[in-house]
Amino acid sequence: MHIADGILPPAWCVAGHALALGGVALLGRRVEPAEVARMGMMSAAGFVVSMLHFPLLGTSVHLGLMGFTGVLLGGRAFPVIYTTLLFQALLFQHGGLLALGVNALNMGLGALAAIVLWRAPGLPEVVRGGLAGFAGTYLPALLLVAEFQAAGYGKGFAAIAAVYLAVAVIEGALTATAVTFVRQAKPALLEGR
Amino acid sequence: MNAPIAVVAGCRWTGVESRAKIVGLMGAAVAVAAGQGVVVVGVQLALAGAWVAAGGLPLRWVLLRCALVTPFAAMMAALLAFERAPDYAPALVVLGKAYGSVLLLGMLAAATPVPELVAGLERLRAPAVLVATASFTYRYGQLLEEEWGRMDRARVSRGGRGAGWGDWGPRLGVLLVRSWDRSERVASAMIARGFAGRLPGGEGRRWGLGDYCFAAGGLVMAMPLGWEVWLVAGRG
Repeated sequence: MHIADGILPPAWCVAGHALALGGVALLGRRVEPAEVARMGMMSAAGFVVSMLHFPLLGTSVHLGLMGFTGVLLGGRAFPVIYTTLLFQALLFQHGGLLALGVNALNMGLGALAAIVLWRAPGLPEVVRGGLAGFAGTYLPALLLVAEFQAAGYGKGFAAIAAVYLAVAVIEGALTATAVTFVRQAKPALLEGR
Repeated sequence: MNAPIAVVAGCRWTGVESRAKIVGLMGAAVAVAAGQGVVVVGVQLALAGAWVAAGGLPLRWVLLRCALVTPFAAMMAALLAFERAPDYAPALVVLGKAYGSVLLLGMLAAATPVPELVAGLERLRAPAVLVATASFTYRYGQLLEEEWGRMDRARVSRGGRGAGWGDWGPRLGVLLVRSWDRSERVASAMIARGFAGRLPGGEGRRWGLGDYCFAAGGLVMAMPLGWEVWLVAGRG
């Protein structure tokens, strides 16, 4: 799901950077020192989990924890995801540097959608957790497919959306069980304390 | 987290000041990603290859880095080639830019330890929230890996085999709760020592001629791009 450099038109990448940095500035302002440690922890969790690859439907995929990050950090998830992607681009070349803004927007919007679903009233917590995990993965995949189609890569890439549907279901189930565990073991984490 | 991002032994660019490396190589990577024509991207790829060779990075390292991006870049190039046949130039450009970018950013990682990279970003006045989060990401990445390893060893010692799908959620929850507690202790200790949200990157040493030349590498990589822009403007 990480777009490499040279794939999208440079003008899109520049616009993506401008929007992503705007998002970082807006959602990363007035961060308390204690918050930085939590943000770094979730960024590291995303980083470590992304290194655990597993085969699925003939391709290799990894979890991203965008939804779980949104559940635990709220809007602070956006700068956290930007930092994780910057690290992945610089150290592992997962995703390009020029494409970093678009990648951060795709995945950051996934986390923001997860926050909205997590805070939706009237649903049991396990369902909200599952929906948040699902949306955190599947919205970025849909945005990716739309971007590639608009950039002239044809409709062949839409097949990837099917693979990511399976990943999103797994991520949703995992987030639901993780949220249930955290509710029992350390509920303060889910209440932003 | 340590093994894949270790500085490559024998790399000649490790002594270059971190800001010069960040400015030179990030600038060069952006210039490569912005190229449009086959000739321009080909020249930039050749320049990137020469830069890597001058740094003394082994061929095996180059092949491994290129292998990282090949599945994605090759798939995108194939889709483009299929969509725009018989014009295969866009597909070649995509491949060239992906490999050029990977070589340049890979060289930055191969020549710069992570703490130095983060300090360099801080000295370049990158946003404080990004620098501090990046610094904690590095520190906690090691912590989480250790914790994950401990949990794996405990599971095996209890007679458990490979973790099934159903185990992943609780395992992630346990990992997070334990690591969160440790991160809180680390944060409390840092705040007690005066941490106020910004990690000092230090002044860094004064740049020598070699540092200026390295940073100018980004400009050299942008020259073919300038030539391309000039040609397009001439046609217009």
